[in-house]
Amino acid sequence: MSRARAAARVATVLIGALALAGAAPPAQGPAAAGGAVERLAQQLAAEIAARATEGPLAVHVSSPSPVLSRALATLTAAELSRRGLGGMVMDAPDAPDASIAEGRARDAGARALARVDARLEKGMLAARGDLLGTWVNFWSGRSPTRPPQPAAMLDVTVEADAHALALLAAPVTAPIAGTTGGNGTAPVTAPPAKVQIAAAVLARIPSSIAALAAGDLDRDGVDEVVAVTDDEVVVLAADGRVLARHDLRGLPAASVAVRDPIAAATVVQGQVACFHARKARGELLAYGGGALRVARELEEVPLAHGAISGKWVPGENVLSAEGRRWSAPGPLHSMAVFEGATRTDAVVVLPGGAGAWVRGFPGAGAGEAISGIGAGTALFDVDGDGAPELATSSASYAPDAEEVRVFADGPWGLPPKWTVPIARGRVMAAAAAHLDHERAQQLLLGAWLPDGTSEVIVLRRVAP
Amino acid sequence: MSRPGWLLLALLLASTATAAGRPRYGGALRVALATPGSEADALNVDRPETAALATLLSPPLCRLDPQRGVVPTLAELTRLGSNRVQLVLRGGSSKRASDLAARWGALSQPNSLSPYRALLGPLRGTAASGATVEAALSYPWPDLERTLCHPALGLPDGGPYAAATPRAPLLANVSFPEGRPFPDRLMLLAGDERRASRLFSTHQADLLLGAAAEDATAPAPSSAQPPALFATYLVYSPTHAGAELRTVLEQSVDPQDLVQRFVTAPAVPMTQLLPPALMGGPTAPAPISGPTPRAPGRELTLLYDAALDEHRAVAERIQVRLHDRGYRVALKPVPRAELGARWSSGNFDLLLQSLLLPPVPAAALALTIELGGRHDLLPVELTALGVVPDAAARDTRARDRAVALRSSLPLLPLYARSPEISAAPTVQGLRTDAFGLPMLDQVFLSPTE
Repeated sequence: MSRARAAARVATVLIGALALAGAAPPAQGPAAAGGAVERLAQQLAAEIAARATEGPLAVHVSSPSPVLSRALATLTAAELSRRGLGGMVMDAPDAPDASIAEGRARDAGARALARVDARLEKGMLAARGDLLGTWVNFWSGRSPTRPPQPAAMLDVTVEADAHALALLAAPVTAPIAGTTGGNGTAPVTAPPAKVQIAAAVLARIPSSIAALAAGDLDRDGVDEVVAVTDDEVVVLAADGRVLARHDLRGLPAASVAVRDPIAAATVVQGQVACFHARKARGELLAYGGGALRVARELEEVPLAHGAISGKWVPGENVLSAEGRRWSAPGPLHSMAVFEGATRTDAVVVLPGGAGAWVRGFPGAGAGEAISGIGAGTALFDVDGDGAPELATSSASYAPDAEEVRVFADGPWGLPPKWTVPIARGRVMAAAAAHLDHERAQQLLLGAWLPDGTSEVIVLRRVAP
Repeated sequence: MSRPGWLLLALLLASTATAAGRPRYGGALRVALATPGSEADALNVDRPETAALATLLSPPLCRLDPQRGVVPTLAELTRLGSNRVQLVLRGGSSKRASDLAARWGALSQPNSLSPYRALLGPLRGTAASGATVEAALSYPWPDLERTLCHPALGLPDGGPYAAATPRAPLLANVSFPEGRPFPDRLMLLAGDERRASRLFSTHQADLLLGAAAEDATAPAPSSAQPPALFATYLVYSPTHAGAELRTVLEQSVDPQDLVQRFVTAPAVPMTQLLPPALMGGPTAPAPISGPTPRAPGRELTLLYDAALDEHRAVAERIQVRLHDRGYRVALKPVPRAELGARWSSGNFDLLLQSLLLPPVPAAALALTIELGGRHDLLPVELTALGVVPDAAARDTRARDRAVALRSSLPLLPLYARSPEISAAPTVQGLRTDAFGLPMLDQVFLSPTE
């Protein structure tokens, strides 16, 4: 599929998601009060309307992503029309001559043109540019004079969300063939030349996230997100909408209750397997019809999509995993697995910031010892090259500022390839996911906030 | 505040020790307490050290978190109406519910020796059934939820730690509803300030409470400072000491002087009934009017807690200041129980009393009214405050009433203390609650690097 077709497909899916969010806002998602792009468009239109009193007004948006440009221009023009200023979208190339948009606005009969550049800046979606008059003075003849009004600088920013990040996602890799589930089984192709990654909030959860998982629960080729808290399992759609909840409070308590919220969750053949450390049993949950139902109870903790299992050490936040196929190097906090076309890797988070990266899981033994990793650690293929990157949160218990470091596949000890600051909270859980049909994966992060709530953050590639 | 211990607390809060983001279970936490004894009676908490200890053994029903607000730990509280609340004890037996009701009943009695009975002032009665306690209120009291997190209103036992024998280490309660505490054992090393500080500096203790660490040198940022809510008052009896004493006390006792020269712990002077942390910031001294009365040769007795060196130093200073005004003040250290009995019966001239005020102005005002012996005033003041639905407006109203009542209550606010805490780098997860108390059950030990 060509790059343009891939872009169009992503645009269709995501603008559809935006429209859906506008029609039926998710109960917990950040788009509940309008997505970031919608809010940016409303603020931009308000700023334009405050400076231009007469329509029609033309809008030209440039950005690293044509999809985002079109979405923002469309929404801004619509908002201007709602305000009685007759918004119109100016399609024009961004370079080399930015005056093309101005000429087209004049030709279209616009009284003014707003030219803005939209991009992601440290977690904020920013639109900056100018507003200029395009009214043609008859007495100027062919001279391209501009009227004195309106003339203004435009500068608006909003906090980016997962939708905005999705619009900024660079569709540089071929989509996954068919609906192969959430763990990347597409053939390996040449990696993109340059990748940037950014983070935004996908959903907010009212309590601390004890575990995160992702998998294709409804067989549509796009993963659903599973967040486990002390009291419930929440299934979220790729756009943050709550699809289903399942109450865990009825499960019997463990003989010794751990203090910190921790659970193990993984998707096994389209079903959610979760086991909270404060409970005596786990559950395998089947999703269907907008609900989760118990398929069966679990005596052991399923790990790595069910490839192995373990047991919680009573009263502690670690579990032991010893079996015929593979044994962990020691009691572990969590484990994440990457299943690619040609390789399967696993990463294990051990106490004290230690861990192991097992290339060739489960047959390759204990794997390479790694250090300085945090509770939110997972493997994901951010650039779609078929090899996993290792993403990990801060190894500190209470870091001054949380950040996620992404390491390329290679000898441990090299500096991270990317470092992504997390705006607030501590990242305590992580999982890889396919939230669209691209081969590149996204990373889900569970961040605990100081007020006792959590955020599901999505970290994904964006256009440079 | 310029206490060096805060440096270590700040370092803790911003610790970079490697822990993979997850706490570690196990080990023994050694706590050096600068207090004469390690007994902690939740009904009489008057020092940060003993209050922190009391919450481990006699746990509050909830935790008042500076950022999260009321966090249920032992009980889920539900409003059944503006004047009815229901508490369901987590994992609790019917015995624990009846224990709680009995404890509250005893505390509410007119002959209760604890001023903390004012916190239950709005309650008309309680009834325990199964694991549920239902309480009826005499008038609307929207601050009840926040007030119930006070250590004095918790369960008599069943905290995150339990004492097997009086001098043995406290053992972790593995069935504590919020989850077992991280360290298996908590070893209390009680002594005077010097000994406690010495234990910490020689690495024989991981945590130091109530004294400054010897090796810390700089103050911590203000953001790390817990509120100063342990308020000390000089209570007098107008009947026994004479009505003119108030003017004498106002003119001769200087809270700023006490804080600077006679109180070794981190403290702020109080010029109003409520400390600056509850008044929204520092407050101006109350204006003093009228001629300076003199009472040549008049004899008074000032009672204070025999266990508290700090109270002795303050009492001695007050003795000197009143001597200059012609009063002969005898100092009488008494056991805590006797102090409570004398206060409750009104049989005293002067006494020093410290209280842990809740971080809720209206509830704190109730405590000061009670301490001033004006139990009759409680329904009047609290009813008027309870009808204000907005919490911020209610807080403002309570502050206004505190200013208005200051001169009519027979007590003089002196100073408010906050806890003094130092911790070794291996101690992680140390935070204070909205009362300013260190949450010792949230602490864990990282491996020595």
